[in-house]
Amino acid sequence: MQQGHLGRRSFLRGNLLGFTALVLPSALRALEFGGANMPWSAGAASPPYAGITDARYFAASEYAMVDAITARIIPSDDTGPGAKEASVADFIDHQLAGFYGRGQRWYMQGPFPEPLETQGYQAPHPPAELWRTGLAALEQHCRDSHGAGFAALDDDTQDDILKAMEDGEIDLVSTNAAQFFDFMREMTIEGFFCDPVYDGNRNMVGWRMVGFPGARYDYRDFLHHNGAAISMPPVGLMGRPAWTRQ
Amino acid sequence: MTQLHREVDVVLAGFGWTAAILAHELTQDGLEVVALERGGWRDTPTDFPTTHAPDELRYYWRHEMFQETAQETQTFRNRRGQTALPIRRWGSYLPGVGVGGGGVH
Repeated sequence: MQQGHLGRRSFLRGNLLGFTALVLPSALRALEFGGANMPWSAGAASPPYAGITDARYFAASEYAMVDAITARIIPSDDTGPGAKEASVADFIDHQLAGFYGRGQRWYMQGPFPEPLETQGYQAPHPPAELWRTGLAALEQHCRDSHGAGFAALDDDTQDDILKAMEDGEIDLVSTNAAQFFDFMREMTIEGFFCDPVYDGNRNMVGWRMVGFPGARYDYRDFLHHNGAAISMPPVGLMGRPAWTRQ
Repeated sequence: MTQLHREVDVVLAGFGWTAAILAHELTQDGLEVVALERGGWRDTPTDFPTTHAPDELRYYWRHEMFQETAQETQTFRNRRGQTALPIRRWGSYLPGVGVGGGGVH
């Protein structure tokens, strides 16, 4: 009994030893790097919202068009919510106002001849300008052939126009209709399924619709579920609304 | 301006996965090794934290860790007779830049 008792003195000694053991290896590691500090510093990790902007790009009329277009690409119907509920137009608006819209990371110099289908993005404009030019051309087309702007047309007419764009059967002023449609479609999907920090996938409606639980770090707890369906509320980079104190 | 550095046994050009493995093996054998890397330093706690590494838009679609075509790119065509055009956005392969190289994809 007496021998097993941990007195205050021995407790302190033990702690000191433990402390030394913790400090020593890092001091040795520092020596390995020529006596300098480690090549990283604690807490230097860039935050998850780096590159996210609150800035807006679209004018009100453009925004209304984008809202209408994306709502036809992923409509709200009996399969679930669509681009409107996921605020896809907000996502695109923010993306185009940032580095992505400016094509900042892309080689954007000429030449710009008619590309092969396999040559990827070859529009002569960075994404933001592609949208602005394309939307103006599409609006012009709608007024000329249907007597009203895109957002004012009924769903079926909107679908027909988008389909014709996809098939390259519409000539738009200074815009390759098929290329522009592909890009609109791509960004609509991005905005529907992105992490909510980017302002799309609002309330995680996209993830809920397909049963995606969020990009969690670790699924080892669920490896042996014997084929049973796993039902977890989705979680994003910033957690989920239920975690935030109201 | 020429800078002279201390002579070492091995200089590795680029510090992707291959060079990292080589560096490990060579230093284990007692050789002095310097790796030259055109991109920045990367380490696990700063650049691969589990809290935001799963950001698919940032890392997968916006290619945050890869060479920017604005800086350097290549031209592409499928066969002779076609006109090769500059790759503006990476598609089928992702040239790396920075410690870890293409292996960070």
